[in-house]
Amino acid sequence: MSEIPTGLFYTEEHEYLKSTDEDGVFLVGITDYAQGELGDVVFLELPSAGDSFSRGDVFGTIEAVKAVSDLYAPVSGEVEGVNSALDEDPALVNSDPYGEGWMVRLRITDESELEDLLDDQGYSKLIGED
Amino acid sequence: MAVDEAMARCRDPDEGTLRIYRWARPSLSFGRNQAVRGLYDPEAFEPLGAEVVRRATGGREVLHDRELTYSLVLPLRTPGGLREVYSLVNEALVSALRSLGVDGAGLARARGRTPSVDAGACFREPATGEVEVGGRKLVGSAQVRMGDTLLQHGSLLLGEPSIRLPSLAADERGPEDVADQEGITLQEVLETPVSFPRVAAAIEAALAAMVGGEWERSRLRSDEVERAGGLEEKYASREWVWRR
Repeated sequence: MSEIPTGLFYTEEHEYLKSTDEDGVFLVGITDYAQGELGDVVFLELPSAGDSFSRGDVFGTIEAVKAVSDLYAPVSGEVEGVNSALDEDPALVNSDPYGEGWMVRLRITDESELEDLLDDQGYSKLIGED
Repeated sequence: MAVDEAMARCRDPDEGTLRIYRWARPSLSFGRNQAVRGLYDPEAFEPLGAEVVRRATGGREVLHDRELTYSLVLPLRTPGGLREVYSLVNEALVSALRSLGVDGAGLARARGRTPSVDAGACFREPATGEVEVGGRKLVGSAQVRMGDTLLQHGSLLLGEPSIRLPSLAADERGPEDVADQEGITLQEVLETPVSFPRVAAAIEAALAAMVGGEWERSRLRSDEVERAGGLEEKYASREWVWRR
């Protein structure tokens, strides 16, 4: 069974949004299920701080041994920072997807878009682990 | 490559596409994120009558020469995602090979370490679950997920290639950096050449049976042709091919 923490927002493309201490700012990464599907992550291409994305835009790519996946912005927002630890060790996405494996710190521009995301139960149902 | 991506981008709901082809000239394809600058020489290809491209799919470089390429586009369902398709396709390929008389094909076991994206040619070593014969890779496959669509590429070696990878290496690299494409060819396994159409028919039958549903042969649809035309510029550009 994949780990699906409560209190996070999830997308059908297997990204999560996790709130931070700052209002309107979230950490974005991929779910435990997604990292398990991809396998050992060997490469990440992430945006730069200051880049803006609309919901559904491709904001980067992730590559495991054999599979590449586009990364989609779960909501619209501006990138405030990226996790530079992943440059050295992309496998953090596998070992700690919701912690040290976060990818992007995103300041969202439209809070109402959060309403369209899934909660842990909805995501659990999506991946057939409910 | 543009056609393969167009097939994925234009996929209708609940539909998939299988394309089996060979290359007009010997061609080297790089993996989507593979670092090749300084490893291969961009000017070395044309004099040898060879071409170079970069795939949308992951993995490492593949020399397409006396081989068969398949591209399979499928809806990605959850559950039943990347890993499941990868493993089902490889099992189907083993069954196709069996129908061609290859009894010793199996799926590679985990080797306990993860090759990096820059770890050398794709066929140098089978990754977990890939099709091998006697520990040598016969089919190399790689995937890309585009939203709810999966594109999987694979290359089955039919015979010895007509050109050698070290001949495409950048001047500053030694032979240890750009080794010949290893792996095993179908001709070597069967000790006789096998025609492309025969192998293509076996793979078509096995993959269609694996996916199930109803299949029909068709030319590219007009929306796919149009989309491929739009993507051609990207795939032909030096910026894309030599981006890393």
